[in-house]
Amino acid sequence: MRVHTEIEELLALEALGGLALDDRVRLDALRAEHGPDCAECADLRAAFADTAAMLGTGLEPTPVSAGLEERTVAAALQHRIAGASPVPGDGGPAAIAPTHRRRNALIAIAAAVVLIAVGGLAGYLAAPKSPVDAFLAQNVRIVPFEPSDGTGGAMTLAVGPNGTDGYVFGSGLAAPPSGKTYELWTISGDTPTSLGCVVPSNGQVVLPVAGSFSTADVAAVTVESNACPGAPTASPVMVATL
Amino acid sequence: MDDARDRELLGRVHAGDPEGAAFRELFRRNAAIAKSVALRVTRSDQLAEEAVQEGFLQLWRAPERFDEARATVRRWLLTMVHARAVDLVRREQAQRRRTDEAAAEPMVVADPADDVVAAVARPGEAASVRAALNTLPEAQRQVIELMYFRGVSQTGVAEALGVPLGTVKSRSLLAMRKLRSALTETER
Repeated sequence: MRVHTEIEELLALEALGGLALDDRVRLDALRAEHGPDCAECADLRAAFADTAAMLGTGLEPTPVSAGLEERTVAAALQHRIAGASPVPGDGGPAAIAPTHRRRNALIAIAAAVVLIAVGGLAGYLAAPKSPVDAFLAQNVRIVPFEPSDGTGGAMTLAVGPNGTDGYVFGSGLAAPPSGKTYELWTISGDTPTSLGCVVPSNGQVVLPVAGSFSTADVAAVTVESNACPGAPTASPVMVATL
Repeated sequence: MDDARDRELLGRVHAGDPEGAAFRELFRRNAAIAKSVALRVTRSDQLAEEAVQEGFLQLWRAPERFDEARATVRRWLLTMVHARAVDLVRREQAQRRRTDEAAAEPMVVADPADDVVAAVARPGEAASVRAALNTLPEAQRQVIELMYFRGVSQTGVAEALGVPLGTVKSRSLLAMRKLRSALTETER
Protein backbone atom coordinates (compact mmCIF):
# COMPACT_ATOMS: atom_id res chain seq x y z
CA MET A 1 0.00 0.00 0.00
CA ARG A 2 1.36 3.39 -1.00
CA VAL A 3 2.12 6.08 1.54
CA HIS A 4 0.44 9.40 0.78
CA THR A 5 1.93 11.53 3.53
CA GLU A 6 4.16 13.70 1.38
CA ILE A 7 1.74 13.95 -1.51
CA GLU A 8 -1.03 14.99 0.87
CA GLU A 9 1.13 17.75 2.29
CA LEU A 10 2.01 19.04 -1.16
CA LEU A 11 -1.59 18.84 -2.35
CA ALA A 12 -2.68 20.97 0.60
CA LEU A 13 -0.10 23.58 -0.38
CA GLU A 14 -1.19 23.38 -4.01
CA ALA A 15 -4.83 23.98 -3.11
CA LEU A 16 -3.91 27.02 -1.04
CA GLY A 17 -1.77 28.41 -3.86
CA GLY A 18 1.41 28.23 -1.81
CA LEU A 19 3.35 25.61 -3.72
CA ALA A 20 6.87 26.73 -4.64
CA LEU A 21 8.34 25.67 -7.96
CA ASP A 22 10.62 22.97 -6.64
CA ASP A 23 7.75 21.44 -4.71
CA ARG A 24 5.53 21.72 -7.80
CA VAL A 25 8.01 19.52 -9.62
CA ARG A 26 8.24 17.19 -6.64
CA LEU A 27 4.44 16.91 -6.53
CA ASP A 28 4.21 16.18 -10.24
CA ALA A 29 6.92 13.55 -9.92
CA LEU A 30 5.14 11.93 -6.98
CA ARG A 31 1.84 11.92 -8.82
CA ALA A 32 3.51 10.32 -11.79
CA GLU A 33 5.01 7.71 -9.51
CA HIS A 34 1.58 6.98 -8.04
CA GLY A 35 0.12 6.84 -11.52
CA PRO A 36 -2.83 8.58 -13.15
CA ASP A 37 -5.23 6.07 -11.64
CA CYS A 38 -4.25 6.73 -8.02
CA ALA A 39 -7.71 7.16 -6.54
CA GLU A 40 -6.46 8.42 -3.21
CA CYS A 41 -4.34 11.07 -4.92
CA ALA A 42 -7.35 12.22 -6.92
CA ASP A 43 -9.58 12.25 -3.85
CA LEU A 44 -7.09 14.24 -1.81
CA ARG A 45 -6.52 16.74 -4.60
CA ALA A 46 -10.21 17.30 -5.20
CA ALA A 47 -11.00 17.51 -1.50
CA PHE A 48 -8.34 20.10 -0.79
CA ALA A 49 -9.20 22.14 -3.87
CA ASP A 50 -12.84 22.15 -2.86
CA THR A 51 -11.99 23.09 0.72
CA ALA A 52 -9.85 26.01 -0.39
CA ALA A 53 -12.58 27.19 -2.75
CA MET A 54 -15.10 27.11 0.09
CA LEU A 55 -13.02 29.79 1.80
CA GLY A 56 -13.72 32.07 -1.12
CA THR A 57 -17.44 31.46 -1.27
CA GLY A 58 -18.01 33.42 1.90
CA LEU A 59 -16.46 36.65 0.68
CA GLU A 60 -18.55 39.71 -0.08
CA PRO A 61 -19.06 39.85 -3.88
CA THR A 62 -17.25 42.62 -5.75
CA PRO A 63 -19.00 43.99 -8.85
CA VAL A 64 -17.00 43.56 -12.02
CA SER A 65 -16.35 46.54 -14.24
CA ALA A 66 -18.66 47.41 -17.09
CA GLY A 67 -17.49 45.62 -20.17
CA LEU A 68 -15.82 42.61 -18.55
CA GLU A 69 -18.83 40.43 -19.25
CA GLU A 70 -18.88 41.41 -22.93
CA ARG A 71 -15.13 40.98 -23.30
CA THR A 72 -15.21 37.56 -21.68
CA VAL A 73 -18.12 36.28 -23.74
CA ALA A 74 -16.56 37.71 -26.91
CA ALA A 75 -13.22 36.06 -26.10
CA ALA A 76 -14.97 32.75 -25.53
CA LEU A 77 -16.85 32.90 -28.82
CA GLN A 78 -13.73 34.08 -30.64
CA HIS A 79 -11.82 31.12 -29.24
CA ARG A 80 -14.42 28.81 -30.70
CA ILE A 81 -14.20 30.46 -34.10
CA ALA A 82 -10.42 30.48 -34.10
CA GLY A 83 -10.08 27.00 -32.63
CA ALA A 84 -6.59 26.33 -31.39
CA SER A 85 -5.08 28.74 -33.87
CA PRO A 86 -5.94 32.37 -33.21
CA VAL A 87 -5.09 34.59 -36.12
CA PRO A 88 -1.88 36.50 -35.43
CA GLY A 89 -2.55 40.17 -35.01
CA ASP A 90 -6.10 39.66 -33.80
CA GLY A 91 -5.13 40.37 -30.24
CA GLY A 92 -4.39 36.74 -29.49
CA PRO A 93 -0.94 35.50 -28.59
CA ALA A 94 1.62 35.52 -31.36
CA ALA A 95 2.20 32.34 -33.32
CA ILE A 96 5.59 30.73 -33.41
CA ALA A 97 6.94 31.66 -36.80
CA PRO A 98 10.30 32.75 -38.10
CA THR A 99 9.79 36.47 -37.79
CA HIS A 100 11.36 38.76 -35.26
CA ARG A 101 8.07 40.43 -34.51
CA ARG A 102 6.48 37.19 -33.47
CA ARG A 103 9.52 35.97 -31.66
CA ASN A 104 9.70 39.21 -29.74
CA ALA A 105 6.06 38.86 -28.84
CA LEU A 106 6.75 35.38 -27.56
CA ILE A 107 9.64 36.59 -25.51
CA ALA A 108 7.58 39.46 -24.18
CA ILE A 109 5.03 36.98 -22.92
CA ALA A 110 7.73 34.87 -21.41
CA ALA A 111 9.57 37.79 -19.87
CA ALA A 112 7.02 37.74 -17.11
CA VAL A 113 8.01 34.29 -16.12
CA VAL A 114 9.86 33.67 -12.93
CA LEU A 115 13.12 31.88 -13.55
CA ILE A 116 14.44 30.13 -10.56
CA ALA A 117 17.59 28.15 -10.22
CA VAL A 118 17.02 25.49 -7.69
CA GLY A 119 20.09 24.25 -5.97
CA GLY A 120 19.18 20.62 -6.26
CA LEU A 121 16.40 18.59 -4.81
CA ALA A 122 18.70 16.14 -3.19
CA GLY A 123 17.30 16.96 0.21
CA TYR A 124 14.03 15.40 -0.82
CA LEU A 125 15.51 12.50 -2.53
CA ALA A 126 18.08 10.89 -0.34
CA ALA A 127 17.33 7.53 -1.86
CA PRO A 128 16.31 7.94 -5.51
CA LYS A 129 14.13 5.10 -6.69
CA SER A 130 12.83 6.00 -10.13
CA PRO A 131 14.46 7.60 -13.18
CA VAL A 132 12.55 10.78 -12.38
CA ASP A 133 13.75 10.80 -8.79
CA ALA A 134 17.29 10.13 -9.92
CA PHE A 135 17.07 12.99 -12.39
CA LEU A 136 15.67 15.40 -9.83
CA ALA A 137 18.33 14.44 -7.31
CA GLN A 138 20.82 16.27 -9.52
CA ASN A 139 21.40 20.00 -9.50
CA VAL A 140 18.45 20.73 -11.78
CA ARG A 141 17.13 24.08 -12.92
CA ILE A 142 13.37 24.54 -12.69
CA VAL A 143 11.67 26.73 -15.28
CA PRO A 144 7.92 27.34 -15.11
CA PHE A 145 5.76 27.66 -18.20
CA GLU A 146 3.45 30.65 -18.24
CA PRO A 147 0.01 30.10 -19.78
CA SER A 148 -0.31 32.57 -22.62
CA ASP A 149 -3.95 32.17 -23.50
CA GLY A 150 -5.75 31.25 -20.34
CA THR A 151 -4.96 27.57 -20.66
CA GLY A 152 -5.45 25.87 -17.34
CA GLY A 153 -3.03 23.66 -15.52
CA ALA A 154 0.63 24.04 -14.76
CA MET A 155 3.75 22.92 -16.59
CA THR A 156 7.36 23.09 -15.53
CA LEU A 157 10.61 22.15 -17.22
CA ALA A 158 13.41 20.67 -15.16
CA VAL A 159 16.78 20.97 -16.90
CA GLY A 160 19.66 18.78 -15.85
CA PRO A 161 23.16 20.09 -15.15
CA ASN A 162 24.37 19.22 -18.67
CA GLY A 163 21.83 21.65 -20.14
CA THR A 164 20.48 19.09 -22.60
CA ASP A 165 18.52 16.54 -20.58
CA GLY A 166 15.27 17.48 -19.01
CA TYR A 167 11.81 16.50 -17.87
CA VAL A 168 8.57 18.31 -18.54
CA PHE A 169 6.02 18.00 -15.76
CA GLY A 170 2.40 19.00 -16.08
CA SER A 171 -0.69 18.76 -13.95
CA GLY A 172 -4.27 19.90 -14.21
CA LEU A 173 -3.96 20.12 -17.99
CA ALA A 174 -6.98 20.01 -20.24
CA ALA A 175 -7.04 17.24 -22.80
CA PRO A 176 -6.29 18.62 -26.27
CA PRO A 177 -9.20 18.52 -28.73
CA SER A 178 -9.85 15.27 -30.55
CA GLY A 179 -7.13 14.52 -33.07
CA LYS A 180 -4.76 16.99 -31.41
CA THR A 181 -1.76 16.75 -29.14
CA TYR A 182 0.47 19.06 -27.15
CA GLU A 183 3.82 19.61 -28.83
CA LEU A 184 6.82 21.01 -27.00
CA TRP A 185 9.43 23.24 -28.57
CA THR A 186 12.61 25.10 -27.89
CA ILE A 187 13.18 28.25 -29.90
CA SER A 188 16.69 29.52 -30.57
CA GLY A 189 16.69 32.78 -32.43
CA ASP A 190 14.06 32.22 -35.07
CA THR A 191 14.38 28.46 -35.17
CA PRO A 192 11.90 26.19 -33.43
CA THR A 193 12.95 22.63 -32.59
CA SER A 194 10.41 20.01 -31.61
CA LEU A 195 10.95 18.20 -28.33
CA GLY A 196 8.11 15.80 -28.98
CA CYS A 197 4.40 15.44 -28.49
CA VAL A 198 2.38 14.36 -25.51
CA VAL A 199 -1.24 13.91 -24.48
CA PRO A 200 -1.91 14.28 -20.74
CA SER A 201 -3.17 11.32 -18.82
CA ASN A 202 -5.75 12.51 -16.28
CA GLY A 203 -4.32 15.98 -16.77
CA GLN A 204 -0.80 14.86 -15.96
CA VAL A 205 2.38 14.84 -18.01
CA VAL A 206 5.82 13.55 -17.14
CA LEU A 207 7.93 13.57 -20.27
CA PRO A 208 11.68 13.12 -20.61
CA VAL A 209 13.00 15.59 -23.18
CA ALA A 210 16.34 16.40 -24.76
CA GLY A 211 17.22 19.79 -26.23
CA SER A 212 19.64 22.67 -26.24
CA PHE A 213 18.20 24.26 -23.14
CA SER A 214 21.29 26.24 -22.31
CA THR A 215 21.30 28.05 -25.67
CA ALA A 216 17.60 28.25 -26.57
CA ASP A 217 15.70 31.46 -25.85
CA VAL A 218 12.35 30.03 -24.90
CA ALA A 219 10.46 26.77 -24.60
CA ALA A 220 6.88 26.68 -25.76
CA VAL A 221 3.88 24.40 -25.98
CA THR A 222 1.46 24.40 -28.89
CA VAL A 223 -1.59 22.33 -29.75
CA GLU A 224 -0.91 20.42 -32.96
CA SER A 225 -2.36 17.61 -35.00
CA ASN A 226 -1.59 14.06 -33.93
CA ALA A 227 0.91 13.95 -36.78
CA CYS A 228 3.22 15.95 -34.49
CA PRO A 229 4.50 18.32 -37.22
CA GLY A 230 8.11 19.36 -37.51
CA ALA A 231 7.25 23.06 -37.38
CA PRO A 232 4.62 24.77 -35.21
CA THR A 233 1.34 25.65 -36.87
CA ALA A 234 -0.42 27.26 -33.91
CA SER A 235 0.05 29.91 -31.27
CA PRO A 236 1.72 28.79 -28.06
CA VAL A 237 -0.53 28.00 -25.14
CA MET A 238 2.39 28.06 -22.72
CA VAL A 239 5.79 29.72 -22.85
CA ALA A 240 8.86 29.50 -20.63
CA THR A 241 11.91 31.75 -20.75
CA LEU A 242 15.10 29.76 -20.78
CA MET B 1 -30.73 25.73 -5.72
CA ASP B 2 -27.83 27.87 -6.92
CA ASP B 3 -25.69 24.92 -7.89
CA ALA B 4 -28.47 23.13 -9.73
CA ARG B 5 -28.88 26.16 -11.98
CA ASP B 6 -25.11 26.50 -12.44
CA ARG B 7 -24.89 22.83 -13.38
CA GLU B 8 -27.67 23.21 -15.88
CA LEU B 9 -25.89 26.18 -17.44
CA LEU B 10 -22.57 24.36 -17.49
CA GLY B 11 -24.28 21.47 -19.21
CA ARG B 12 -25.46 23.84 -21.91
CA VAL B 13 -21.93 25.18 -22.31
CA HIS B 14 -20.71 21.61 -22.65
CA ALA B 15 -23.37 20.95 -25.28
CA GLY B 16 -22.15 23.84 -27.41
CA ASP B 17 -23.92 27.02 -26.26
CA PRO B 18 -23.70 28.58 -29.75
CA GLU B 19 -24.50 32.15 -28.71
CA GLY B 20 -22.76 31.96 -25.36
CA ALA B 21 -26.04 32.63 -23.54
CA ALA B 22 -25.53 30.00 -20.86
CA PHE B 23 -21.92 31.07 -20.45
CA ARG B 24 -23.06 34.66 -20.02
CA GLU B 25 -25.53 33.69 -17.33
CA LEU B 26 -22.86 31.68 -15.53
CA PHE B 27 -20.69 34.77 -15.66
CA ARG B 28 -23.42 36.98 -14.24
CA ARG B 29 -24.11 34.54 -11.43
CA ASN B 30 -20.51 33.98 -10.38
CA ALA B 31 -18.20 36.73 -11.62
CA ALA B 32 -18.61 39.00 -8.60
CA ILE B 33 -17.64 36.37 -6.05
CA ALA B 34 -14.82 35.22 -8.31
CA LYS B 35 -13.56 38.78 -8.45
CA SER B 36 -13.59 39.00 -4.67
CA VAL B 37 -11.35 35.98 -4.42
CA ALA B 38 -8.99 37.29 -7.10
CA LEU B 39 -8.96 40.76 -5.59
CA ARG B 40 -7.96 39.43 -2.21
CA VAL B 41 -4.97 37.73 -3.80
CA THR B 42 -3.87 40.33 -6.32
CA ARG B 43 -4.91 43.56 -4.55
CA SER B 44 -5.32 44.94 -8.05
CA ASP B 45 -8.61 45.50 -9.81
CA GLN B 46 -7.02 44.98 -13.21
CA LEU B 47 -5.25 41.76 -12.30
CA ALA B 48 -8.32 40.48 -10.49
CA GLU B 49 -10.47 40.96 -13.57
CA GLU B 50 -7.81 39.31 -15.72
CA ALA B 51 -7.90 36.30 -13.41
CA VAL B 52 -11.70 36.23 -13.52
CA GLN B 53 -11.74 36.35 -17.30
CA GLU B 54 -9.16 33.60 -17.63
CA GLY B 55 -10.94 31.42 -15.10
CA PHE B 56 -14.17 31.70 -17.06
CA LEU B 57 -12.35 30.98 -20.30
CA GLN B 58 -10.92 27.82 -18.77
CA LEU B 59 -14.45 26.79 -17.90
CA TRP B 60 -15.58 27.54 -21.43
CA ARG B 61 -12.77 25.58 -23.03
CA ALA B 62 -13.00 22.49 -20.89
CA PRO B 63 -16.42 22.19 -19.23
CA GLU B 64 -15.99 18.42 -19.25
CA ARG B 65 -13.35 18.77 -16.56
CA PHE B 66 -15.99 19.60 -13.98
CA ASP B 67 -16.46 16.63 -11.69
CA GLU B 68 -19.94 16.95 -10.26
CA ALA B 69 -19.22 14.40 -7.56
CA ARG B 70 -16.41 16.48 -6.12
CA ALA B 71 -17.45 20.14 -6.16
CA THR B 72 -20.05 22.73 -6.97
CA VAL B 73 -19.67 24.66 -10.21
CA ARG B 74 -18.94 27.83 -8.27
CA ARG B 75 -16.21 26.24 -6.20
CA TRP B 76 -14.67 24.67 -9.30
CA LEU B 77 -14.64 28.06 -10.96
CA LEU B 78 -13.16 29.72 -7.86
CA THR B 79 -10.38 27.14 -7.86
CA MET B 80 -9.41 28.14 -11.39
CA VAL B 81 -9.72 31.87 -10.75
CA HIS B 82 -7.70 31.63 -7.55
CA ALA B 83 -4.93 29.65 -9.26
CA ARG B 84 -4.74 32.21 -12.03
CA ALA B 85 -4.74 35.08 -9.55
CA VAL B 86 -1.81 33.47 -7.74
CA ASP B 87 0.04 33.09 -11.05
CA LEU B 88 -0.56 36.72 -11.89
CA VAL B 89 0.52 38.08 -8.54
CA ARG B 90 3.69 35.98 -8.59
CA ARG B 91 4.45 37.25 -12.06
CA GLU B 92 4.00 40.83 -10.91
CA GLN B 93 6.24 40.21 -7.92
CA ALA B 94 8.91 38.73 -10.17
CA GLN B 95 8.74 41.72 -12.48
CA ARG B 96 9.09 44.09 -9.56
CA ARG B 97 12.04 42.12 -8.25
CA ARG B 98 13.69 42.47 -11.62
CA THR B 99 13.22 46.23 -11.58
CA ASP B 100 14.37 46.54 -7.98
CA GLU B 101 11.07 47.93 -6.84
CA ALA B 102 10.32 44.84 -4.93
CA ALA B 103 11.35 44.89 -1.37
CA ALA B 104 9.39 48.05 -0.81
CA GLU B 105 6.49 45.97 0.46
CA PRO B 106 7.34 44.43 3.80
CA MET B 107 4.98 41.65 4.74
CA VAL B 108 2.91 42.68 7.71
CA VAL B 109 0.77 40.09 9.38
CA ALA B 110 -1.04 42.38 11.78
CA ASP B 111 -3.85 40.16 12.92
CA PRO B 112 -4.39 37.62 10.21
CA ALA B 113 -6.99 35.64 12.05
CA ASP B 114 -9.23 38.66 12.40
CA ASP B 115 -8.48 39.65 8.84
CA VAL B 116 -9.70 36.37 7.47
CA VAL B 117 -12.76 36.26 9.64
CA ALA B 118 -13.64 39.87 8.85
CA ALA B 119 -13.20 39.25 5.15
CA VAL B 120 -15.64 36.42 5.23
CA ALA B 121 -18.56 38.68 5.75
CA ARG B 122 -21.44 37.12 3.87
CA PRO B 123 -24.25 35.58 5.80
CA GLY B 124 -25.11 31.97 5.10
CA GLU B 125 -21.99 30.50 3.59
CA ALA B 126 -19.95 32.95 5.60
CA ALA B 127 -21.17 31.56 8.88
CA SER B 128 -19.91 28.09 8.18
CA VAL B 129 -16.61 29.35 6.79
CA ARG B 130 -16.12 31.60 9.79
CA ALA B 131 -16.96 28.79 12.17
CA ALA B 132 -14.53 26.51 10.38
CA LEU B 133 -11.79 29.12 10.50
CA ASN B 134 -12.43 29.59 14.18
CA THR B 135 -11.65 25.94 14.81
CA LEU B 136 -8.06 26.59 13.71
CA PRO B 137 -5.28 27.70 16.03
CA GLU B 138 -4.07 31.19 15.19
CA ALA B 139 -0.80 29.86 13.77
CA GLN B 140 -2.71 27.84 11.20
CA ARG B 141 -5.07 30.69 10.36
CA GLN B 142 -2.04 32.86 9.61
CA VAL B 143 -0.90 30.37 7.02
CA ILE B 144 -4.34 30.26 5.42
CA GLU B 145 -4.54 34.03 5.33
CA LEU B 146 -1.15 34.48 3.74
CA MET B 147 -1.37 31.65 1.26
CA TYR B 148 -4.97 31.53 0.13
CA PHE B 149 -6.05 35.12 0.61
CA ARG B 150 -2.78 36.85 -0.26
CA GLY B 151 -1.16 34.45 -2.71
CA VAL B 152 2.09 34.19 -0.73
CA SER B 153 4.21 31.13 -1.49
CA GLN B 154 5.27 28.67 1.18
CA THR B 155 8.73 30.25 1.20
CA GLY B 156 7.26 33.71 1.62
CA VAL B 157 5.05 32.53 4.45
CA ALA B 158 8.04 31.00 6.22
CA GLU B 159 9.90 34.29 5.90
CA ALA B 160 6.92 36.38 6.97
CA LEU B 161 6.24 34.30 10.03
CA GLY B 162 9.86 33.53 10.85
CA VAL B 163 9.32 29.80 10.98
CA PRO B 164 10.99 26.92 9.11
CA LEU B 165 9.53 25.81 5.79
CA GLY B 166 8.68 22.44 7.27
CA THR B 167 6.53 24.16 9.88
CA VAL B 168 4.64 26.02 7.17
CA LYS B 169 3.99 22.76 5.36
CA SER B 170 2.74 20.94 8.41
CA ARG B 171 0.56 23.88 9.47
CA SER B 172 -0.96 24.03 5.98
CA LEU B 173 -1.79 20.37 6.02
CA LEU B 174 -3.26 20.42 9.50
CA ALA B 175 -5.31 23.50 8.70
CA MET B 176 -6.67 22.00 5.51
CA ARG B 177 -7.59 18.75 7.21
CA LYS B 178 -9.46 20.61 9.94
CA LEU B 179 -11.18 22.94 7.52
CA ARG B 180 -12.24 20.04 5.36
CA SER B 181 -13.68 18.23 8.30
CA ALA B 182 -15.48 21.29 9.68
CA LEU B 183 -16.87 22.47 6.33
CA THR B 184 -18.07 19.11 5.16
CA GLU B 185 -19.71 18.58 8.53
CA THR B 186 -21.72 21.77 8.17
CA GLU B 187 -22.70 20.87 4.61
CA ARG B 188 -24.41 17.68 5.73
